[in-house]
Amino acid sequence: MNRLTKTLIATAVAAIALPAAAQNVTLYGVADVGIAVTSFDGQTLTAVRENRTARWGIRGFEKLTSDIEAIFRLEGEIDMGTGTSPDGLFYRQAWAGLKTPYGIGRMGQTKDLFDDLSEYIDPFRNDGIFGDYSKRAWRVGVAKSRVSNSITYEAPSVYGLQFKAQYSVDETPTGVGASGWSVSGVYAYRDLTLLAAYDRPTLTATGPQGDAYVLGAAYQFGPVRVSGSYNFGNLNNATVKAPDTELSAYTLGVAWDVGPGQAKAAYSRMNSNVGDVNASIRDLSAIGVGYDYFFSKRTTLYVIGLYQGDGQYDSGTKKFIYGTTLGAQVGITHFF
Amino acid sequence: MKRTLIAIALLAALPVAAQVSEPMSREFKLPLLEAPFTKASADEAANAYAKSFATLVMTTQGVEIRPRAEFDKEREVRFLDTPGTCALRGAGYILRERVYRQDYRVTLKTRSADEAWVRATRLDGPEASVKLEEDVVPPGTGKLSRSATVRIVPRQAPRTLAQAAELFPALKRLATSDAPLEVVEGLKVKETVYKLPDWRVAGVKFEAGLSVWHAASDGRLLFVESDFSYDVPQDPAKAREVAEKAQALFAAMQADAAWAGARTQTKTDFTYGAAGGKFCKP
Repeated sequence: MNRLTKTLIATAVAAIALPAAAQNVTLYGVADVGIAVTSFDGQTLTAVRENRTARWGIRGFEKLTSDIEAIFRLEGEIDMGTGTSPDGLFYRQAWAGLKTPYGIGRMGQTKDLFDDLSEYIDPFRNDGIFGDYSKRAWRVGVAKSRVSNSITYEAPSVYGLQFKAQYSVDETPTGVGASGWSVSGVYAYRDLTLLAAYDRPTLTATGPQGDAYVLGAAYQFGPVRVSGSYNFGNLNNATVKAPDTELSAYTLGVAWDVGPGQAKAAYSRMNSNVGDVNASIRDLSAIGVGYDYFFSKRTTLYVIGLYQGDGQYDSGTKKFIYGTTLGAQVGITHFF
Repeated sequence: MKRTLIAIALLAALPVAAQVSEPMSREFKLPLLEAPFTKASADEAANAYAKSFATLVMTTQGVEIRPRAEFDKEREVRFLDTPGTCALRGAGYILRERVYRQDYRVTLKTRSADEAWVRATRLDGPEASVKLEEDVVPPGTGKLSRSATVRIVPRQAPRTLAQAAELFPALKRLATSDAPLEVVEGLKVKETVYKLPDWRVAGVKFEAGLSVWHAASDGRLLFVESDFSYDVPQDPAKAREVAEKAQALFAAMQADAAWAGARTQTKTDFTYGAAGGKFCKP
């Protein structure tokens, strides 16, 4: 087969396939990269890293009836420093489902409902050098970023109130793991947002199954948004004879529209009833300040400052080194 | 084989071209009396209107909807044009900014009565979301319009014709000089939008809303408008059935003396005359 014939076959296939596919499928993503410098215990570390997680994805729909659509999303993470995908091709999202007037039902790999609410409270959205700490406080040792083998239902919003429920299959033999489930509710009316969620993550091995809940609120005072939350996690949930391991945390956030961008500040505090054990079970307090300069609706330049005063866990020696962490990060986020 | 493949490549494109007919929506707009909205809070008046509207939908469409108005959004609205000349209006356009905090949406819309000109005018631009719609005002007069909306950040807000032409290339013909753009009649409007429940006729979705305009400067009530809209179906029989239902509802809304206003202006006409039309005079 000569080159012309191959080209013609490709053109014919594309001509047939592309118009149909192009109508309902969108390629989207975030390209985010910057430089972060952190200083702790006399050492300075410079890293090329993200603020908003860099990602690419494909989403689409097909209208089945006037009321019902089939929907899907595939989304993977990109390490912009190396160009690799750290957690598998579509670790962030891989699901399909139906959208109806009675809500959305979908199955597959997706975001944890509990974790998803953090963006209402933390102006840094658990991202960047501040997010390295604020997300630990938000998850209180229990919640996770993503949920596998899940079934998610999102009810329609009624008078500003929306409920979601999620069930995840553990895919382990009887007596080994345990399925997980979570529910969340958000009420948004004018400038007020109230939220609550309960999470009991999937257990894929023998052991205690923890749980967590969060209560939060945010209010928009003109150009200033103020937010706060209380999170509580119980890691072993009284399923073993040892005392429960409990983490409680709160997050306070302020975001202020200033000039062509937004200034923001947040404080995250977590308390452990068993002291400092590892990177997740520990006391921590972190302050983040930052400014986003909105260059266009797709491009933002950002600067972030970090103070964290409760030391670091050294995973090599498995010990805590106490001291202060200071950090700064600058970079660019581009949405496509 | 080559001939067959060439034929497939060419023929595959034909059905797409043949099926393309520009989607269009119709939006019915009725100015309401201001009095109910001055006697009570906007929320209370909107809910009182929603009850009346639900009755009209039941009567004319045979569909039961919830008698409730749901707060949707609040934003600042302003129209932009060149002071002293109103070059945009003169050329058959309006340029409108809708702003909520850092979210700016700029819309360029035709306002010509010449349907052929509207159909032939392309407003496509980078990032623009374009639609063709028929605005229907009392007693049932339709005017075709094409609009393009772009989302921008405050830094990109157009303050000259040349800057507006960067967002909407259709304006390049007008932007021969860097004429400044200013807020028409100095009128900045605080717009509160309520959503009324959806319903369906012959499988076609109807959406309804209510917008209440107050002056951003002193809170004066300026304008209240009830609207409903639908996407015109391709099937002519269905399009006719839906159009008849829409006409029946619009007629009933106009006959509702408790709410229908006597005003014949559109919100755009109102804005351009808000300060006696001084803005466009040299």
